Amino acid sequence: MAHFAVFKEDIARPFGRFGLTSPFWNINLHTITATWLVLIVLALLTLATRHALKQPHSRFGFLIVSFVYGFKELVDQTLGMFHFRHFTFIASLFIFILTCNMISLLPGLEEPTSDIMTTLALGLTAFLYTQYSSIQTNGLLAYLKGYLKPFFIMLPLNIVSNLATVISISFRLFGNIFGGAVISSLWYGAISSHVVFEIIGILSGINLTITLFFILFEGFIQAFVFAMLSLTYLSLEVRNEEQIPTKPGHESDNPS
Amino acid sequence: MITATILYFGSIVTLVAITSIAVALGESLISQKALQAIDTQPSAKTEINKAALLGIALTETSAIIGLVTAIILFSKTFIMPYAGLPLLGIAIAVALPGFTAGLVSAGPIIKACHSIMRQPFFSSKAINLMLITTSFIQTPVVFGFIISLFIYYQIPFCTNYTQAIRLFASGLSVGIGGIGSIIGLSHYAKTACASIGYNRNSYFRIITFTFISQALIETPVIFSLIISLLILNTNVTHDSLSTATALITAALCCAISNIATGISSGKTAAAACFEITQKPEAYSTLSKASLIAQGMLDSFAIYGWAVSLFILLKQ
Repeated sequence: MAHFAVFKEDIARPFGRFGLTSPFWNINLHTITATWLVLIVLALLTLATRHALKQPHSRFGFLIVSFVYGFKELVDQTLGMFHFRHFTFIASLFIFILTCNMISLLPGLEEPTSDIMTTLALGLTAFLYTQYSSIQTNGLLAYLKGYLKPFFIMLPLNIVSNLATVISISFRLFGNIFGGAVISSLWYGAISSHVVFEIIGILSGINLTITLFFILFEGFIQAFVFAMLSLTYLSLEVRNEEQIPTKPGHESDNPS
Repeated sequence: MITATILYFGSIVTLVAITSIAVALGESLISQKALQAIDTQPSAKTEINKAALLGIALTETSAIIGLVTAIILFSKTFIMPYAGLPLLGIAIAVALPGFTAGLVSAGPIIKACHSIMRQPFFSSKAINLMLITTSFIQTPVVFGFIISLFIYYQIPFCTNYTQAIRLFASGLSVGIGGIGSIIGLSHYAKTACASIGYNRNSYFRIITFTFISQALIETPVIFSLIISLLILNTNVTHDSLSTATALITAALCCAISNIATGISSGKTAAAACFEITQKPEAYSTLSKASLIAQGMLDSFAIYGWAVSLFILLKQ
């Protein structure tokens, strides 16, 4: 993938002087720039939304409002209640990851989510938030008792499976986005050897297909999956037992 | 030397032949069932055609990935004695998931055609669901392709047989580990696409459930991918039988424990999906039960993964 020559090196080692030289402590500067650009894009989007919502009949404002309502309904269904903090957390995760996955539409940038450190950080954030909300809802004692369920022998298994959620959720996002990035960079590398190939790539529609599938479609799906899985883990922790609602009819299931 | 050459050409042939056989079989099934569906419901001809064509294009992904890998391998000459086993690893990493995906992704497309046959005015939603579910089925193939590219770039630095076995084990892990999840994903996708035909009012519930449960079904593949990447990062300096055995066992341990997990996880989610169709208002209870069951099933994959991890960390 093409980079602008902003940095002399791709990787900074700020902890190198303390003897921490393993790859875990390295900082990928391209990831940092791309993440800051994502934040700038989101800030501009927020300003635009704020402007649009002041207009009486704005299409953009309508889109934003319908997105927020749709997402709120989704979160409510899964959580079984409306909780403003959970809703904002899940929605922010979704919007941030979606923008991260699609930032490579801008030339010369690569997705921050194709760096394992970003996805691991996101996974850890979701995990810690879930544990914090669980403690807040159930109390510390009940939370600790949850690890001993159903038998006390299950304690190590519960801990391992709890931690495995972080690994699976972050590696899922990383693997999919990184896979898409590898495949599209392979294709663009193959056609960049000659101008004829590039024209063939543009005219035959393969470039468009790759962009549509790997950036827009896969990026959206993976962002949604990340948000939904975080929401599901959250709902398993904070949700009380409740009965099957007996009301007939499905107002929210109206296909239109 | 001769064995390595045989392995070189053998892997190229395997990559193309095996994926093509599976995809051809799948596509013929799709066309046959789509024609039957058109015969039953001629007024939905255009919609069924569209669904079948899109489905065939998606099924073909695995054959195309096999072909691309074969072309990449063919366009380079390798230093022979040590390149044989890694090439076999590449063949396994791409061909096994590709073969399985080609065979089983016909199922959901056929069911989607049947759903459109039952509900012709609901075709766009059914096609959406089909596209989402079938593109999830191709994920393990893409993972296998990535690992095979890593192996391919490491082949020139391969100077003894233990390093060759290291690359082979990496391909083995992601290749075998993908099978179970692909079968499970296809099982779920089949049920989801069929359910839309029975009760179209449950569409929105099912599409939310699809994202969550398909992501959970493919968790084992991600564990296999991690083990593969770890095996690729192991340092091997000299020939040693114990290191080679450890790498192969680590790969097989994670991969084999993933097969049954993937299949059963898919079956669990499929059952829950069918029940959601029958009773959409019980969605939250059903989905919660299914997710807990899938979490328990995933713990078996986690055991295999943890053991593989211990074996690798000891090296």
